[in-house]
Amino acid sequence: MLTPAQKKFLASLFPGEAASFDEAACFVHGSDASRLPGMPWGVVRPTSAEQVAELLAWAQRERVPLLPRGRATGVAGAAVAANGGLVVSLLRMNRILEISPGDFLARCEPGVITADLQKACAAKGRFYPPDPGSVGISTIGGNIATCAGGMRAVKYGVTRDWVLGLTAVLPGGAVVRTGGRCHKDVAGLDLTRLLVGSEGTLGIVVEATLRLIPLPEASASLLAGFADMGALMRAAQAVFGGGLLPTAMEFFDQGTLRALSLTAESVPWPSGTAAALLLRLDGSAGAVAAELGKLDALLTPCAPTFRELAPDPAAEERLWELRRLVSPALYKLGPDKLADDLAVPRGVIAEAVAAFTAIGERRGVTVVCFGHLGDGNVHTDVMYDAADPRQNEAAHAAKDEILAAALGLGGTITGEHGVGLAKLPHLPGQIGAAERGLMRRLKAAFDPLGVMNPGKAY
Amino acid sequence: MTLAYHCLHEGERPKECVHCGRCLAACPLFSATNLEELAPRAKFQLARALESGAGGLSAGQVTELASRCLSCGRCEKACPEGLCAPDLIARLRSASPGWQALVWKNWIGRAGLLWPAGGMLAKLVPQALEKALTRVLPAPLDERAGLALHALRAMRAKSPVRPWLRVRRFDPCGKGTKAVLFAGCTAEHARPEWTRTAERLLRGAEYDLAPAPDFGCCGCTLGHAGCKAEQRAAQERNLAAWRAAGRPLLATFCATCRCGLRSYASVDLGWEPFEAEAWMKAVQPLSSLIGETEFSVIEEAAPARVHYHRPCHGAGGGQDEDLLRRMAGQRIGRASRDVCCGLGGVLQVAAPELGARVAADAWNFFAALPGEQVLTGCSGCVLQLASTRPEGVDVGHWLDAVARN
Ligand SMILES: Cc1cc2nc3c(=O)[nH]c(=O)nc-3n(C[C@H](O)[C@H](O)[C@H](O)COP(=O)(O)OP(=O)(O)OC[C@H]3O[C@@H](n4cnc5c(N)ncnc54)[C@H](O)[C@@H]3O)c2cc1C
Ligand code: SF4
Ligand code: SF4
Repeated sequence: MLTPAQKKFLASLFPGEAASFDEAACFVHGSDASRLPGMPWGVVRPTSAEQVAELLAWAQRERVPLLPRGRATGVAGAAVAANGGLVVSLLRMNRILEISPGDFLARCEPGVITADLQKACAAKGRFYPPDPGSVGISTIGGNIATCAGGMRAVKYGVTRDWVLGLTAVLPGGAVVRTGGRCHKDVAGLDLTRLLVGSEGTLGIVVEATLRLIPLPEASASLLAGFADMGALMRAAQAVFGGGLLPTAMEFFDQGTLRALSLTAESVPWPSGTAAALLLRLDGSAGAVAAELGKLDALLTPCAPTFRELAPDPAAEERLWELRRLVSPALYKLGPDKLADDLAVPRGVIAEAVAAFTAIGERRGVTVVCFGHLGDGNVHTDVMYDAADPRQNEAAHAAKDEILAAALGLGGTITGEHGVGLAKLPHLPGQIGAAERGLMRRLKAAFDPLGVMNPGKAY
Repeated sequence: MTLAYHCLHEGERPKECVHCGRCLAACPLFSATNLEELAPRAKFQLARALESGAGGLSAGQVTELASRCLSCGRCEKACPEGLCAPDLIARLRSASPGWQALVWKNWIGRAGLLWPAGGMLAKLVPQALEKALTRVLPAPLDERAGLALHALRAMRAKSPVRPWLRVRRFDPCGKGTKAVLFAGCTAEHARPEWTRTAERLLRGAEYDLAPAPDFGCCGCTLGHAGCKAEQRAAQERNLAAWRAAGRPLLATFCATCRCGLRSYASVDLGWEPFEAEAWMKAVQPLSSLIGETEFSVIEEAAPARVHYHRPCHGAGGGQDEDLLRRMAGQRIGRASRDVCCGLGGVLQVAAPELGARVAADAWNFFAALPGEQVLTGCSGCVLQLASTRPEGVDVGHWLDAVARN
């Protein structure tokens, strides 16, 4: 709880509606897309780095835990105020500070919506590739703090590959600048990479310098259906085997297709389709047209139930909107979800998906697999009804088994969503005591009194 | 108590907010303020907390915060679960009639008229209304009452838009079809000239225009305010009047009325077989009924540029925009797609300053200069935009621009 004196300080640093201690407003800032509950003590909304620095000096003095928050679309519960604390909403620090076509970089504040930044870059002929499914609804700050992945990771990598430098405020109020405007820079330890993916546990990011590349001239997409997962996997191998590196390669299993057909206004696949592959290519117009033809030719012998080519942006958008709809649509299969974003070595994906699905069948709960086939990051969600005790138990048992199966195949418990609160109990299964101890010592170097998002991530 | 706060048109299990955050991007109130507690997701979270007892929140707290909504309906379109904040709020309000709903009921009761017609009342008895408002609003809300009154005053006078369009040739596409006009509250009480122009257009296009049946308010705003019984009475009255008139074509020129009328089809009003479908077919925007009717511009009266504001309600206002583009030709400036005027029914009484912030976003979009006009096809939007307009910019319904010939 905050004392009256603490509230008074915060109200003077954040005048008017920039600070809120109203219970209902606090409640709203307690949870995120994990739907785990939390009740913070207050919310503040800085508009400048100076305010953040003053806040962090105060928080360390007063030992008040802070929870940085973007749009709260995180699914691991990293922004959940499970044990109170003060929420720092970065949504009002949302200025794009610079887009430099010559230096191939953009500088922005953390509250900028990722898709807005991409649009602004595109207007100057530049491209910021990371595109999580939440690209239109999540922030750059949140993407950096979770090292968000996305569809284009096959070709372009994840958020960390695009961060050149950061300005962060540490507990105590120190402002640190890591990296810079250079695309190559090996001076000192790589603090930028340490901050990326740190889930708000080390400091608050107040400015990011992001790497850009020339905007590809064209892109095209293709959706193909298959009668079963085996056929789909053979098709995926045929694509890579044919020498193509798609920008994105996503897959949907049977359950995912069903959820989509219950949610979307219309879906393009015919009956008899039990799995689908969504691919995108980008590059110069000539290359894309040629590669689209080649892609189609590579897929044809794999007996697709249908193919839909999307050669222009409007047609592509229709296909990719389906992909963005998957995560919420899955609730059509069950009111509760245990979401996992496992990643496995790319060679064992087929084996992994078969194993996860079999676990669901054995336990009597719905397990759906979909996502980033191209980079081995398989979203595996258990859909169930928590109000039913049998399902509740079976779902959690299935989740544990799935995580164990992924680790058994040399995988990771989280490819892109982060550990947050939801995955914390499973972390020791993957990362040893020595490594976790090292992580805690690193945290102590940034945050000796443990005020930054305590109890999360590692 | 379980609050069924979902548009339950189908299916058995009530849908639930999955916290995905898609609606935040759609909500004009959130965009204008960056306050997460005003976003649709927050409203569903709060209602759920009230149901489950989580957070120890009181019904009053929840209703007060959740009610801050423009009823624009954009969240419903963005939500994969099809959740509709205005529906939720209407139910919260009718379940716990807090002070806002009371104000509303008092206002309506006192005026004997409905919200948009308040302007009329303000004209006739401004002091009486001012007194009535300050009596029902708690003292520190004087400023809010002032803003609400400002909005009302904006409707008092004659339309500032001088007609600058003349029909050159009617398209006789009506071919004698029987039609009636649903004018709506604003036209009825404050802008009778809209009705007259609309009638002329329909007759010119050779519809067999019958005298308006005994229609009342569409009920849309009443429903959002949580006055469910009154809304139902309005719906029943209009349906009976339409039946008595022989189920004719029902022309509307207000997007909110049209949206309110179309929603009848999903309410159990004792429809006869296939009658609800016939109703949906009958309710049509005026702009789609006059075919290829041609207009000429009266140069000396025409504004330098005219912008189109697309109302949130209705089927997007696409037909109005098409018509205005045809009529205005080169003069057309910007056409909004997804900016909201910020009117928001009861919010105008509860927190008009929030509406004003949303309106500021809309005006930024238009970037209208003195001498230019913003035209729209919704009475509510006319009211809100007129009361927030920059100096020298005129706001009106597109019907205001059409001359008597
Ligand atoms: C429909 C949907 C689809 C999704 N698809 C993907 C996907 O494809 N790939 C993927 O990786 N994720 C995906 N996500 C998860 C989520 O969108 C990402 O984790 C995203 O990066 C979170 O951004 P946010 O702004 O919502 O951050 P929040 O959820 O608010 O915060 C996430 C974490 O970042 C911290 N944080 C936020 N801002 C700062 C800051 N300025 N400084 C320090 N720490 C900060 C928070 O404390 C928290 O730990 C999806 C989510 C949804 C709902
Ligand atoms: S109806 Fe409009 S203002 Fe209200 S919550 Fe939905 S989007 Fe926001
Ligand atoms: S879009 Fe719907 S489900 Fe998603 S957060 Fe908003 S109300 Fe909830």
